[in-house]
Amino acid sequence: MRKILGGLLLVLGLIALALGWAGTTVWAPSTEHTATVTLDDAGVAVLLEPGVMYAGGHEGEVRFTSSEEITLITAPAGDAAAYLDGVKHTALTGVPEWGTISTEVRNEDSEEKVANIASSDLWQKVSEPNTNAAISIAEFSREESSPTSQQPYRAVIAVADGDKPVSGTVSMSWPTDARIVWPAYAYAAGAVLAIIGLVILLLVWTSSRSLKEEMHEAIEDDDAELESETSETSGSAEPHEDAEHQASDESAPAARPHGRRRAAVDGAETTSMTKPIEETER
Amino acid sequence: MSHLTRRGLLGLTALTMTGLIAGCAEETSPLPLDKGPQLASPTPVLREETMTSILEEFAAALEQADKERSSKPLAPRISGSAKDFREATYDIISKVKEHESALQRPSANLVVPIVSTAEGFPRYALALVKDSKKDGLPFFVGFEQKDARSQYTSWGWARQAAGIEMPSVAGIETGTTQVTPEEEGFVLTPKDALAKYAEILSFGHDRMDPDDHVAEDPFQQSVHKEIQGERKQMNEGVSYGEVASVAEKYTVKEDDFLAMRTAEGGAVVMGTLLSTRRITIKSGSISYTDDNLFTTLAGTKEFKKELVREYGTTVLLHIPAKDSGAKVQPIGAFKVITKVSGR
Repeated sequence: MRKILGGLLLVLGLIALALGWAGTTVWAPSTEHTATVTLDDAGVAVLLEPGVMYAGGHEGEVRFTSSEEITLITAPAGDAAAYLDGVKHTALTGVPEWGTISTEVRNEDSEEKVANIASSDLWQKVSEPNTNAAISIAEFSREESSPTSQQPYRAVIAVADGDKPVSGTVSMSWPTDARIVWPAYAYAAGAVLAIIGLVILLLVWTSSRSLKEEMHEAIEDDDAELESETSETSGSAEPHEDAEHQASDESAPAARPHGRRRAAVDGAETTSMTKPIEETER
Repeated sequence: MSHLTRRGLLGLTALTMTGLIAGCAEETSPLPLDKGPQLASPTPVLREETMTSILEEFAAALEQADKERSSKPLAPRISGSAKDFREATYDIISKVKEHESALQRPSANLVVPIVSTAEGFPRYALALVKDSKKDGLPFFVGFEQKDARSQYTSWGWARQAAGIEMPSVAGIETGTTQVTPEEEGFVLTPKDALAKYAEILSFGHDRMDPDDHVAEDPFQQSVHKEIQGERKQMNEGVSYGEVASVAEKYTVKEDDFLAMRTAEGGAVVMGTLLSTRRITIKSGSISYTDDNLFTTLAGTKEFKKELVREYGTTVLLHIPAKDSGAKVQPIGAFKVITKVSGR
């Protein structure tokens, strides 16, 4: 019974440990949230409206990937809107759900062109042109909250080299602190159950082993006793006081009980063998 | 319950457990769009690095234009009156080489920037910069950004008046508010102050400013002294105004205006004054024995009716707050001769 209990606890413990492992690996939530949009013809610029990049927090990255070199411009929202007023551009307006960036094409029918957008005096920050241009959200956020230059959230304008229509992919990613707490409990419970199960099994194994050893010792004692009795019977002239002993000594073969006990030990019938041993010892 | 059903039930239970366990993860949604905090007061868009860059382009364009004696390199940083005045100067130099001394110019070396916190357009900026020549008095260079797609351009600059106390202004990080031409709360509205100064330059302080709103300044004194000297020269040996009268009439050019509030509640106002100095010959004629700037440009050494010179002047006034008890103080001016004619 204890053996079954120990085994059951061990199995349950292992299952709990496996669940804990799965909880931290297979079932673990993703380490970041992302949102992406691909734009084929966004117009002269892509306008990332203020605050959109903070949809997943104030850490992470905004990345513009295009076959053309892209320049990223930072400006107050009002200035960006005033500059792009009347020209076709695409505004990134929000992140309605993870994976998605909502867009709005403005002045879609306008054919007005704007030259040298990146060289305007309005812009606070202009990046070097790059086909894979990125903004650190944390750094951007720090600039906005700097005590020496406090300013409201700013817009980002992406323009293509040579003021060509912008096309490409805009992706945003934010590290996430999403976590599941139960794997820790599963690990703890699994470890406890497995240890208890192991301990029980160990105790069962140890007790059965000590019993075997006792039996061996008892058998060895009996053998030694029998051997000494046999030698005494053949070498001494003194008669036995015990009639039973006498009778058995007289009856051949005298070594039969010994043979029976060995057979019982070999057959591991511990319980049934107790009696003959006791009888023998008695 | 059959073996298959039991197995199915076990599978279903495992699936449900998996779903429940996986569902225990703290899943979140994107944050709602937050357009950011509202500041108590707007901060300037123009930063020192942008201002420096604008000044570098401005000074380089002016230097190049002066070198080429052409107004083409002036665009886009220099436009309007400043471009017109420079073109006139180049034209005069092409006829009178000695007039090269008029090509004084501000450098890109920024001393004090004054920037606007305006969120709309036009936006103004004013920079006190060193003279391009060593030991020259600094210049105030005015800049205006007409709309979102325009660059900051300068339509004028005025040399700082010597010996005049300058008003204090907010730093570039804080910026200052712009002032409209007819804004109240000052000793005079900016528009009235410019008009009053033009009248004083034209007809004298005593006559045109009996309430003493405007203080004296070196430019005003030099203009009046120059006119008095010419009057004396034209009428030498005869009674006052017998041969010729000398008068210079100043008018305010409406389009050129730039005003920003100072730290003590007043305003600095930049504007352009156009003037015509007319020597009217009443009897006889005026003759010059040697050629000079006026005779060369007019094409004659003898004037029987009039000698007319046209000028453009960029001025900068400090208008104190209404209750301050202080006077309007001209703090800078730069005058350029643009045309000479006579008969």
